[in-house]
Amino acid sequence: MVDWGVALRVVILGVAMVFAVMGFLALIMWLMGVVYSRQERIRLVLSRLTWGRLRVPTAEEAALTDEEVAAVTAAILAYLEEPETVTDRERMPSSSSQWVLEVREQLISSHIRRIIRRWAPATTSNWTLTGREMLMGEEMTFRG
Amino acid sequence: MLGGFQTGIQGLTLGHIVMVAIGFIFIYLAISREFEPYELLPIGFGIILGNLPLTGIMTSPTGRPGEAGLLGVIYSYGLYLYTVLPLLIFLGLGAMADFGPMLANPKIFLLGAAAQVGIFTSLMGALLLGFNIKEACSIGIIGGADGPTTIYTTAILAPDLMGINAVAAYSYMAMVAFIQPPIIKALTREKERRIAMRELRHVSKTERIIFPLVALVFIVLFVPRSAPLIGMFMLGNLFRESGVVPRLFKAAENELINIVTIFLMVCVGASMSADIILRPKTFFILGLGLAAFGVGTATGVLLGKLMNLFLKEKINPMIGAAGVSAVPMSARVVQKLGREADPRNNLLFHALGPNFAGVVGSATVAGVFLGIVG
Repeated sequence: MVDWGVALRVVILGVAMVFAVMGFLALIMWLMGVVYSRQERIRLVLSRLTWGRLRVPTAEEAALTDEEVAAVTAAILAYLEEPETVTDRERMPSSSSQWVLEVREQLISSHIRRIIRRWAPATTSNWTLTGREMLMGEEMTFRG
Repeated sequence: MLGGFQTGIQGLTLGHIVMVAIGFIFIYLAISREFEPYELLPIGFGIILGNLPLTGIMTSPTGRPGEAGLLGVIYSYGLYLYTVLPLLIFLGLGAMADFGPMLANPKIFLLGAAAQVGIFTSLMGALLLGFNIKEACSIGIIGGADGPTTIYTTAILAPDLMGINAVAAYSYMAMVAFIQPPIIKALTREKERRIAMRELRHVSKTERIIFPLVALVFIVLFVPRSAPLIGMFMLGNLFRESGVVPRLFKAAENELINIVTIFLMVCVGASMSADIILRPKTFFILGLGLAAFGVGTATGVLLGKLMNLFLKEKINPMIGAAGVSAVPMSARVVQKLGREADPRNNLLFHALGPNFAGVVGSATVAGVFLGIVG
């Protein structure tokens, strides 16, 4: 004998709960997206509110210039020409330019930005060599 | 008897023969047609092993040495008594999940929710067909198109149905490319299928890390019995997104999920004995599972159409069909139909959003079922 009371409770509560939970998660994620898109402005406001005690972005964290990105890209490609990087090559997708784009996206994240600026010398050609040394030394995860 | 020695032939029944034949069919489908081979191959093999008579391979442990069968031990401790194996697979699935498309467009969380309505319609259908409430919940969850969730829920609520429910779930996931397109085309106009969606925004690493933590706390606070599924899923995802535990991430994504899949699927297959499977109820379950898939596809698409009445920037309603969380098959179906309508249209990443949202949704529903009737 079916207990229709329990069955209806399961259905009503289940539908309500799944929509409520997913709806709230969507709201939270939307708010996070809003904060992310306005993070620089929020940082500035917080810095003013805390009389400058809050850490503001340093030159190290500023976006890479096009020249720096081109230099690091050249360094990565040079690194991949080396025979010992054959395992990295296996992880490369079929279009190497797509891979370069993905790596550049990784490099533009702030963690890597700080490492790059620490290593950047005065001239671009030295920078390419230094970039290769950096890549061999640092553990970098490439999404291939 | 041969001097006290019994051969399997003496214990062979028609039911055994039929089940072994079914096992061979699953193996054929897996190898020759590549229908979900990672699941159907070991399930098919398990069916054969479990239905060859007098092997003792499915004998449960009794505490006395030498009496338990290999699969009996794994089944008892991994599935029947402690239901650990499907949760470990969910850990691996979380490590493979990319919530980026969902985070870039959060309103599609709702499409993942809408596609779970199929679960409830099948639940009511199962009750009308004479199944009890626990069996009906475990049959309904097939509509979530999520193998580990189906196995986990069924192992707790209706262990006898675990084999057939798992086979139904994985078989329909493999047939998504046949099941979904007619439903999607029937519910959408050509003009709607041609709707192009804007390129997704970049999702920061911070958002990707925060999401599994927020989702875990939020969902488990509201649906406590979803903790094992959601917890393992979000842990695996955190391994992936944090980027600081590459060995754990790789182990979860590869070794763990592969090893557990072997044992879980073989046990699921071996648990499918003739006396449980070869009865009219099995056909009802297969029909209800198919209905759950179909209704879930339809409700996802319909919610997409409803949302377009209020949205300035329209979504392609077909992506609602991907809320049936057969990842990534249903997203690929949507991509293919989108390209048919407009070759320039690229819906795959947009469809992956509801796809992964559906996984979270079906785990939430499972938690509700376990909380009320478990």
